[in-house]
Amino acid sequence: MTMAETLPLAPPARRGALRRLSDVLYRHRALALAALLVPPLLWFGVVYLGSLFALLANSFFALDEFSGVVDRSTLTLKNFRDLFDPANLDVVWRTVLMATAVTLACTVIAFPIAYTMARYARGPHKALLYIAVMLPLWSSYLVRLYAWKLLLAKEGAIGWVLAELHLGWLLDALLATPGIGGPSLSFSRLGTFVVFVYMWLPFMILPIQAAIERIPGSLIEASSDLGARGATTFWKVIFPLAMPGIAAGSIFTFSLTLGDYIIPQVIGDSTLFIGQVVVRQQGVAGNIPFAAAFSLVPIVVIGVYLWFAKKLGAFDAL
Amino acid sequence: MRSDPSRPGWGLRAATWGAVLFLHIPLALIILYAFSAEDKSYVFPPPALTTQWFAVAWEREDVWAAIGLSLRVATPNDTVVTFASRETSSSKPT
Repeated sequence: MTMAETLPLAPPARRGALRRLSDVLYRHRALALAALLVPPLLWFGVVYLGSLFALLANSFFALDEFSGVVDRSTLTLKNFRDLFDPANLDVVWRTVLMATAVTLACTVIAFPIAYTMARYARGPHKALLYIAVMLPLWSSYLVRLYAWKLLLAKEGAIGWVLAELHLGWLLDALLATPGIGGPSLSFSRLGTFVVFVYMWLPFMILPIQAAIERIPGSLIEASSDLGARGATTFWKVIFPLAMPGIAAGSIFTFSLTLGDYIIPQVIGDSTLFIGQVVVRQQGVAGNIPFAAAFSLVPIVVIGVYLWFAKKLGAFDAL
Repeated sequence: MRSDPSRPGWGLRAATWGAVLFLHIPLALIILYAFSAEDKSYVFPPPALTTQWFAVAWEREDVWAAIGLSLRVATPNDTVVTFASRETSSSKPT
C-alpha cells in the first residue's frame, strides 16, 4: 500500500486497461497474491472440502430399510453405531492390519534401492534406475493387477517356477497356513498383500530416495571417523535422517491400502476390505449414509496415524 | 573401516536388483501373455505363441471406441466438448 509513496519517482499512469491492471497489481502485492491464490483455494474449498462435508452430512441421514429411500429430514447416529458391529469392526481391523503390513514391507524393500539410487548410482545408471522405478507407474493400474493374476494363478508363473525348483511343498505349506492361505496364491490373503506391496512400492522408493539424497556425505564419513561401523552408522545416522522420507512414503502406502477396493476384489479370499464395503453399500445396497459413515473410517485412521507419526518424531527432521 | 565405500556391497546390490526385478517381471509377463496361444487359463509357460490377439484387438470396434474416448478425455481442451457431446448423444433417442 505504501510502496507507491516510498518510491522516489512514481511512473506516470500508463494508458491501456491491461497496463493499468499490471500497474495496480505491481503496487498492491497483496492483491496480486490474492488473484493467484483465490482460484486454487476456491477449488480446494469447494471441490475438496465441500465433498468431504457432503460426505460427513450424508453419514447422519437414515435409510428407510423397506423403501430404500434416504431420509434427509431426521438426523441419526445409527450409521456410526453400525460401524461397531463385530462384522464391520472385523473389516476395519483387517484393512488396518493389511495397511500396516504393506507399509512395513514396502519400507524394507524400498530402502536398499532408494539408498543405491541416492548414494551410488551416477549418470546414466542413475537415470536408468529412476526410469525403472517410475515405469510401472506409467502403465495402467489394472494392467499391472491382471499381470499379478497371471503370476499368482494356480497354474501361473510363480507356481511353475517353484515346481521347477522342487519347492512346491513350500508353496503348499504357505497356502495351508490359516489366515494368509487359500486354494491358490491368487485366492489368498498373501496374494493380496504381495500385490498391494507391488502397487505402492514406487510411492515409497521415491520419498526415501529424496530424503537420503539430502544426507550430506560428510555426516557418514564423520560417523565412521568416530568409529561407527556400517550397522551403527545406518541406525544412528542414516535411518533417523531418512525418517521424513519413510513417513511421507508410508502415508502413501498406508492410505492407498486403506482405500483400495479393486485389488482385494481381484486377488484374494472373499473377505472384505473397507473400500469394498463402501462400494457395495452405495452401489448394490444403495445405502449411501452408511457408505459415507464407513468412508470416514480411513480418514480417522489416517488422522490417528499422522498424530502417532508426529509423536514418534517422524517429521522432526523436515 | 569406511561405512560408505564407493561401490555398494553385494547385499545392497542384490536387494536393489531384487526390487527392480520385482517391479518389472509382471510387466514382462503381460507382454509374454499377449502372445500366448492359450485363451482359457493362465497356464505358464504358454503352450504356444501366436500374434492372433493383436489382429483380434485391431478388429474390435469397441476397443477403438474406448481408445478414442480415452484420448479425447486426456486432451485438456477437448474434455468439455467430449462430455458435452456425450450428453447430447446419450439423450438422443437411438
